[in-house]
Amino acid sequence: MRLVSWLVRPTPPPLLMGIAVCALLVVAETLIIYPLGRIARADELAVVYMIGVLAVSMIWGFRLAVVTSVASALAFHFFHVPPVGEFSFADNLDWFDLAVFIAVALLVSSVARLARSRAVESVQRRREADLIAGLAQLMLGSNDLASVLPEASRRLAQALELPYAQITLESVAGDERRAALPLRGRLELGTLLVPADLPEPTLRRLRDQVVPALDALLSAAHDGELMSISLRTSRDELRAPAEEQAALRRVATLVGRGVAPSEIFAAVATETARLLDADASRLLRYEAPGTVTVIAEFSKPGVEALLGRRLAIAGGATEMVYRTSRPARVDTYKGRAGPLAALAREEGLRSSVAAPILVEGRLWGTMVVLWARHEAPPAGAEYRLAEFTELLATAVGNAESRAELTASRARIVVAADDARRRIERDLHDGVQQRLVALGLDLRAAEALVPHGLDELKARLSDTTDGLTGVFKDLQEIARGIHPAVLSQGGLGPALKSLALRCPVPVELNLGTLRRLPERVEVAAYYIVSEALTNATKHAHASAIVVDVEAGNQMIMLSIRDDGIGGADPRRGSGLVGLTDRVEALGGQLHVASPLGGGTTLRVELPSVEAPARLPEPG
Amino acid sequence: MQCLIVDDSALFLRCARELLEREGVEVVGVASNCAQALQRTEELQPDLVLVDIDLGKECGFDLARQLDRTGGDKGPPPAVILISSHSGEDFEELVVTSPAIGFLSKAVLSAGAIRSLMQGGRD
Repeated sequence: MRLVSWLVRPTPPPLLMGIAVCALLVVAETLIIYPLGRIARADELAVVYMIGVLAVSMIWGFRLAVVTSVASALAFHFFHVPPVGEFSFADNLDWFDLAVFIAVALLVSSVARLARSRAVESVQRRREADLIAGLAQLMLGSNDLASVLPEASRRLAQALELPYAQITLESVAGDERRAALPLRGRLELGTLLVPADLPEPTLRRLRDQVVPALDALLSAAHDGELMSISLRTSRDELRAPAEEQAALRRVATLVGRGVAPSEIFAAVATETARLLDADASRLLRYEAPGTVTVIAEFSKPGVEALLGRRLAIAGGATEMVYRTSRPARVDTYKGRAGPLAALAREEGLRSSVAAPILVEGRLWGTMVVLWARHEAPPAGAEYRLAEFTELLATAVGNAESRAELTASRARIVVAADDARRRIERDLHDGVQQRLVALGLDLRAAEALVPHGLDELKARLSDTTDGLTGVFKDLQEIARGIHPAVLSQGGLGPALKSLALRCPVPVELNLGTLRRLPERVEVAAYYIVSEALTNATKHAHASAIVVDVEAGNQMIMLSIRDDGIGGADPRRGSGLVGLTDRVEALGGQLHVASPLGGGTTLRVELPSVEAPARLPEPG
Repeated sequence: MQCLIVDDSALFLRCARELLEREGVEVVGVASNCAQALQRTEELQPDLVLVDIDLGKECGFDLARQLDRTGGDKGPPPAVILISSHSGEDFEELVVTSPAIGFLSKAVLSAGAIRSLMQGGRD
């Protein structure tokens, strides 16, 4: 097949070669007829020259074939047709040979030309097909069409053997240097630029074969880009709710675990800022009308931290929430009046959304999220924020309830202690004094009894003793209600007196004990008193150690005994009351009481007044 | 011996005064609170002051300390005996560390008890 494709190659071999071959063939054929003359008559062997004509017309085309035919006819007539040695065309039949040669030449050269042009066409087509396939892979396989165009242009120029070609996505008009072939799909897609001086067939070919294919490719690439953008958007849209749900769930878990409010506030600030891709988010609590305090904050580097600051709300989204108790947005702070708007502009923040925190129907605070970018906040951001603030409201409500509960328990405990002290006071000032007075009067009366009335004196003496006994009993009762030494001398002497009166030996270590708030001293006293009672009565201990350590903010009490252990605060035995008292004051109680291994009670009490509301930031 | 009684109960002041005077102790004055006590001490210069630990809102120990700081050119400060309706056990240590020479329960108040404290001094 290699020979055949060489034979029908697009450009024929050089003309000189053709002439030489023609001459050679004619000579050869003329010579061959001589030996063939023995088989047949020489003047009937004109057909031998057909070989040459065929070959030349196939390879070199019609014109040279005609020359060959004429040369062949002349040679034949000269050498083989009698009279030999001269040209005689007398017979019409002699012209017939020539006519046949020429006819065959015409036919064969036409066929050859057809075959040749088909071959050329098919080679070109295959080249273009390869090019388009390569371009398709290049352009449709890349995410960024514009970046592969230079390579595509290069391949195009190389494949089609153009000096240069350029595919561009813009619509460019041609000039005298460059011809512009517009590429159009459903819309203007671009232009193919090629040298203006290309031969017309090439230009035609480009226009008819290459441009439509490029159109299709560019359309497909463009559609592909659109589709992947829309896929990405859908994926982002789907991901957003999933992320939001996850964030809400994280916050809800914190709320459910009863984590300290400050931790929840910080978590919400961070989550909302991240979720909404914001530059700052702040939790604001309403204070005196028209002001808020920043109690939690998340801000990207570069945004000033306002944590703990008091701000006036005029001009901000916060003010809108304050007035309507509904989510609000500020699309731009430009041109807004008010100190909060001015502050936002100063910080470089351009827009915000805010949502209310409603605790039991009242407006407790606001969550605000701010952006520095120029575009308005995404649609619906304020409502997404509101989902978080609902959780916050629950957390705040829980914390406030807990704080209230603790406060009311403390109040009850303090009220009970106050009542006891009052009773003790009343006893002291009233009944005890009167008993003392009675006793003194009786002794005065005793002294007045004249000599001789011994029995009377004795009776009076007995009565006095009886009265003294009553008086002492009352002292014990009064001390049980409230030990006077606690008020007069403080916790130290009171604990010492407790230790002395305990039937079981008590080792008391007081450390550096100074006077503490009355509430704390009373609580500590009763805790130790109760613990000693338990150790003595229930644990059957034989030795007890009491350690007291007064720190800056706390007082630590530890009561250890070597008794039978097994104390459980949940199962009564006096520890429940202790636990209530300790927790009412915001303290902590730890009991370690392995069976048979003694009991250790550890109590921590705050020794400063607890705050009446939720802790301040910081 | 001249004695001043400091107590916030008028009833006790009356009874105690009666008893002590009957037993031969001269009660030169009474007081119901710290201010009065200091003033009367200044005026009357008693040898002995009986101080109730529980003076309502005020504290007898504080008064004992203040009395201990009086005196000067008129003579030494008076002896202080702390008294109370409460049992003395609880206050033992506080009494010992105070300037008072001792403690007496109101139930056993008598001239004899006083004299023995004054003579015995502090241990």
